[in-house]
Amino acid sequence: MNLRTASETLSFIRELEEKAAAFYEGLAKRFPEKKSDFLTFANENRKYNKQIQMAYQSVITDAIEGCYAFDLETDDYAFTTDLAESAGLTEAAAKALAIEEKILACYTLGAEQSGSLLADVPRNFKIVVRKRNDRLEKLKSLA
Amino acid sequence: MDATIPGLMTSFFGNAGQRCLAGQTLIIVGENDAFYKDFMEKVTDRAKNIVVGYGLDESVQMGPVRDAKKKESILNYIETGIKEGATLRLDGRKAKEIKGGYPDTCFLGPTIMENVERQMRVVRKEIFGPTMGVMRVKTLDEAIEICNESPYHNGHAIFTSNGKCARQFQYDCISGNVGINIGIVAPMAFFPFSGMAGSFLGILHTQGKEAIRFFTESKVCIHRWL
Repeated sequence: MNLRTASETLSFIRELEEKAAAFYEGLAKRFPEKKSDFLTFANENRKYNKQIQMAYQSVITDAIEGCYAFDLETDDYAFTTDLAESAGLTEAAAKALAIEEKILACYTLGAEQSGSLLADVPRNFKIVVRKRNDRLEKLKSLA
Repeated sequence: MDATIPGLMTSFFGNAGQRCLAGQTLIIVGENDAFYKDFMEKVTDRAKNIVVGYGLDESVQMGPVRDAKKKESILNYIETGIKEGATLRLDGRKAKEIKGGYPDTCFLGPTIMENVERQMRVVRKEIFGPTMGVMRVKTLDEAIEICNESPYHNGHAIFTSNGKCARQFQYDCISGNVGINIGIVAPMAFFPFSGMAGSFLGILHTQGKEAIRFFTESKVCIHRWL
């Protein structure tokens, strides 16, 4: 499915972040020794959702110029959160890294495409990408 | 060019062209035919793929016009444009597809008219619909002259990578809201929203300090203490 409007792109990103947050909550239950890290990731995902939504709704140009700002294919960013029962922390971290890569790719291309038209949404996409770098390092150390 | 076209789409076809700052006439400056051809192909390609339908569907890019009467008025303008010599590059008089299967009572597709001239009604009147009239001129001076002879001066925008042209446009174009590489020149609330000439009535603009002046009265208090 092709995403063109800011509204549908943000809904799609919200789904990705929520799906990843649920995945991290599952990992927190499965790996109590890393519970704090995984729950932090889940909370951050939901915080990013609020941050992006606020950027979209509070800046006039992001709302009125949003219908032609994107050209993203949802299939490029689809991911599954299935993890084998026998999977250990290493596999879980590798899976999380793969999910993060998809989400980051979506934010990065989205920011690039909408940069000339919108004011705050692409800027906030870039902020989210930057903020996620610490998480990537943590996951890499586990994988 | 890739950055300009989405800006044009939102300017001309956003809100189905029904907003005071919507674009209506696109003036392409220069005599480079190859550029014009390539540019118009890209603009047309983008416009013809605009998703038309129910405005609250997130995937819809262009909703209906206000009512059936408004649709008729827009159709009349397009017909007048054709009679006056414009040529239809993209015919949006009947939307090719309405997402959701709604009746086409109030829906139009994006329309692009080429060979538009400055005296035509589609240039001099406010259509307030999803139409783009395209004209070509040789120089920026000529383009600014066309902007300035319009009876309406609410918003004008230039798309350029040339700072000199941007500055000349900013200073010489008579307009309440000037955009440089911005399709919809909507100012933030702390700036005045300033139409000029036929696009302005009264002595104060809305928004910003002028709005405060509009809603308040001045009070003078002169003191002397002995």
